[in-house]
Formats: sequence, structure tokens, C-alpha cells
Amino acid sequence: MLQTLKKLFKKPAKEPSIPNNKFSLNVDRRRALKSLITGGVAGAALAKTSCSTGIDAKTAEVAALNWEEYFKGNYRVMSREERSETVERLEKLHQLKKGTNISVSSAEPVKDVLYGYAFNVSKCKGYMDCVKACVAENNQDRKTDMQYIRIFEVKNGDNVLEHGNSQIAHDVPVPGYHYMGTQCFQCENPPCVDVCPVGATWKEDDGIVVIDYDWCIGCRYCEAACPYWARRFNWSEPEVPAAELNENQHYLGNRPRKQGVMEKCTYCIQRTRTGQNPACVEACPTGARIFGNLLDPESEIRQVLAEKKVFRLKEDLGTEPKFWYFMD
Amino acid sequence: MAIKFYQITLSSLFVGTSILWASGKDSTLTQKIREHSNKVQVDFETNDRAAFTGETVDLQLGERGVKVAARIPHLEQYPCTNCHGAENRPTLTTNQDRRSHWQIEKTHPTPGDAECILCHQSNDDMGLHSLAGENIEFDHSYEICAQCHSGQFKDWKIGAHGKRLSGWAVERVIQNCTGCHNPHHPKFKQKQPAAHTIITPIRK
Repeated sequence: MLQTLKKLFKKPAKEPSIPNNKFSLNVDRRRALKSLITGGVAGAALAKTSCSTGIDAKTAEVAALNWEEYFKGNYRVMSREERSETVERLEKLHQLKKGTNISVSSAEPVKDVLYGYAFNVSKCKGYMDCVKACVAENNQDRKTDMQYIRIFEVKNGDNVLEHGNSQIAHDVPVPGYHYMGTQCFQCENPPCVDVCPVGATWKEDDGIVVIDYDWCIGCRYCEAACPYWARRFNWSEPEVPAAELNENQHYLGNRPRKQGVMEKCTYCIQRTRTGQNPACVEACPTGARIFGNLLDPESEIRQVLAEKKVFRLKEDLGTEPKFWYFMD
Repeated sequence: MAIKFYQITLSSLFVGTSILWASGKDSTLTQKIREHSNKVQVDFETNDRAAFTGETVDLQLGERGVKVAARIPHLEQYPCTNCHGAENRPTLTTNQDRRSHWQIEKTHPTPGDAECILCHQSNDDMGLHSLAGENIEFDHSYEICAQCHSGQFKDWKIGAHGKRLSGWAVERVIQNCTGCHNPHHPKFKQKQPAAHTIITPIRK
């Protein structure tokens, strides 16, 4: 009796990758669950199909892809192969469901790059070309008018954004007022990352704070934690007209989101990781927005930080946003 | 009650060490930038759309060279022979619907009708010239504005004024002042915002 018990609890000769693996099986929790549920569903499906008509190949393929997607892990800890597999599945799913092709990138952060952004308060005239470009570039929900950028119209002499009007419905600029835009500032000490209970949001090596939309549980804790109200929640299924969909997507950026997940500005990760400027920077007609690599001493952003008097919002909180404001 | 000796020593020790600790500290972001800055150009696969594809002119501004988008290819009314014949001026040979030169809205540098020959030469070329009479090409028209707007010129050189036409990772291409500003009416006009926001009633 004692001998069998000893054998049962004896540590196997080769150290397995799974801790406390008493049964010497090469399977972790996720795979075990997957196998069990596959068996259960297969059994139920077998029972069902035996009394109903067969399903077509397309639905079967969509189901199979959804199946794989459901059991994938957090993007942050995926290997390169797993990442390319998941983006391929997403592209295939879109092709099957909508009939059009998209390209979802899993591009990694560029080495030796830390993105910085500067906003010239003297130049912004409230034209909101940035908002229009951002919505188009990032496939944001048109039904709820999801916008990452907020432009405040503040009376001259007042420096409190909360006194400003962010719902501009008249010709701009209005004399006697100045305009300031806010969006996610990609903090170096992001409070939203600290509070996420599941690790669905994190800061990448190039400084961008990203969200894995398939890992987010929609608790909105990050929305509460952000001092700049930069995070947005999808209360309903996002709708983007097919003609306006931006096909160049990134897994952590502008790929279509679903109901119940958070989203926010990602400095157009699908553009910046290929050397382009974010859509808002490119769209601004007055040149109020400056973007670049903080680790390049000759970049425009570094020169602005060196030559102009810059400030950041809520400096006292220690979030270290990588978004500075300055005046002429 | 009287302050005790030990209270003074302890509090001054505390304050002293805090000041010493804080004074040598950069913020974590500043530290990171200081430690990891390097002059090596980032070398990775950039998008075709990141680069500026138009014609450029190389400028030497101080110790740094920079590429400026060429202006001349975009000028419709230059040279004069585009509308006027080679020999006959002011008779138009083409484009009879165009406005005359005196119908151009001019509010700069003086409000109302400004003098054309302040910036333009009065010869056949109608090219540009500085206040000292030196010839200035249209591709270098920033030199005219820089005569009075030295502050903006200084900012434009470093990138704090104006807009970069190329992506952050590719060669910097900027534009002359006339890329954004109408030289005859440089101030940006009032217009409707490009996007709308949801108007919610304000609860008082």
C-alpha cells in the first residue's frame, strides 16, 4: 500500500514543464480543458448531426477558427509563431465573414525607439481634422461616435481644461479662445496598466500602451484609473461601414474590436511601426502636432523639448506622460 | 510648549536627506532618455507611404541640411508665359476665366491693399526679391518671410513650426511657408470643424 502511494507521488526522473504534475502528463490546464470540452462538444455534435442535415464547409471553417481563437493565450506572452498564427486566423475569419481582405500585422516594437508627442497650443485652431483622420484610420465605431481625441475650447486666461467646451458645434477658431487636444498620452508609469486585473493592457518596449482586445474582460477599471480620461469602452458592437474600413491593421491597434472591450489611442501603432506618422499628425492643417523618437537626439520632438517651454498635464501624479504641450 | 533638541535634529536630518535624495534624481523618463539616446539612425522596413514622393530642394540652414518640398512645380501662374505669351504682355493667350492679378486678396503685410513689389520683382520674371533687392527663388520663398518673422523661422528650422511631410523614421522633408500659408492672406480662416462630437445637455 505504502509502496504504491510512494510511486504515485514520487517525482518523475525528468523535471516536467508543468509544476505538481503528479500524473506525468504533458498537458497544461488550457490544453486539458480544450481536450475535455472538444470531446464533450464532439459527442454532442455527433448526436445532433445524426438527426439533422450537415453543415456547410464555410460555417465549419469559421467555427474551427473561432475555436482556436477562443483558446489562445494573452498576446503579450505569445511566441512569434503563435502571434503570426493568430493574425492569420483573424484575416481568414474576416475574409469568410465579410468577404473582403484585411491585413493584420503583428509587427514588434522597433528597436531603440521611444515615441514622443508634442502639441502646440498656439497653433491648434480647433479644426478637428485630427479627429476625423483618427476615426477613419482606427476603424472606430460610427454608431456611438467613438473618438479617441478630445479638443477643448478654453477661454484665454484660463488654463483648466475642465472649464473648456469639448463639444464644439460652431465655426472655429473663436476669437478669445484657445484649443487644446487630449488623447492617450502613453504614460511611462501608466496607472491603467497597474490596475488591470487580468493583464490585458501593458506598455510595449517602444513606449506605446496597448490592449489585447481578446483578453480584456471589460471591467473598465483602467477607465477609472486613467487621470486623463483616455480609455474608451465599447458598450455595443462597433459598426464600421465596409467602404470605410481601413484594411491595414495591427493586432494591438486598429483591428475591429467587439462589444465589451476597452480601446484607446495607440499612436497609430499600425503606422508608426512602419515609419509613418500617426494619422492625427499627418492630418493637422496647422502643424500643431509633432511626433518622433525621443531617443534620437536630432529628432524634431527632442528639439522642441530642448528649445520650447513644455508642460504636461497632471504632472503631480507622476504618470510621466509622453505627450507635451507648448506655446509659440 | 518648547521644541525639544531631539525634535530639531531628527526633523532636520529627515529634511536634509530628502533634499539630497531628490536633488540628484531625474524623472524615470528623463533618465531613460538620457541613458538610451543614440545617434544611430533606426534601420527597419519602412512603409512606402512614410516617405515624401514629391520633388525636393536641399537647403543648408545653419549647420544642418534639410530637404524642403519644391514649390515651383505647384505654381500655376508661374512663369508668366504660362498665361501670357512670350512677347505680348499683358494680353492673355490662355485661361481667360482667371482673375486678374489685382483681384488677389491681399492683406499681408499691411491690411488692405499691400504693395506687390515689396516681395515681387517688377521685371518680366515677377520673381521674388528680398528687402535688400537680392533675387529669391520661389523654392526658397521662406527667406522673404524670415525677414520679419525671425521667431517663426527659428521654430521652423527645428520643427516647432510647420509640418513634416515625411514619416518620423524617414528623411525629414518640410515645406516652405507657402505650403500652408497663402502669402497674400496668410492667416488661417475660420471654418466649420471637420468632425462633430456628441452634444450632451449640460446638467446644472
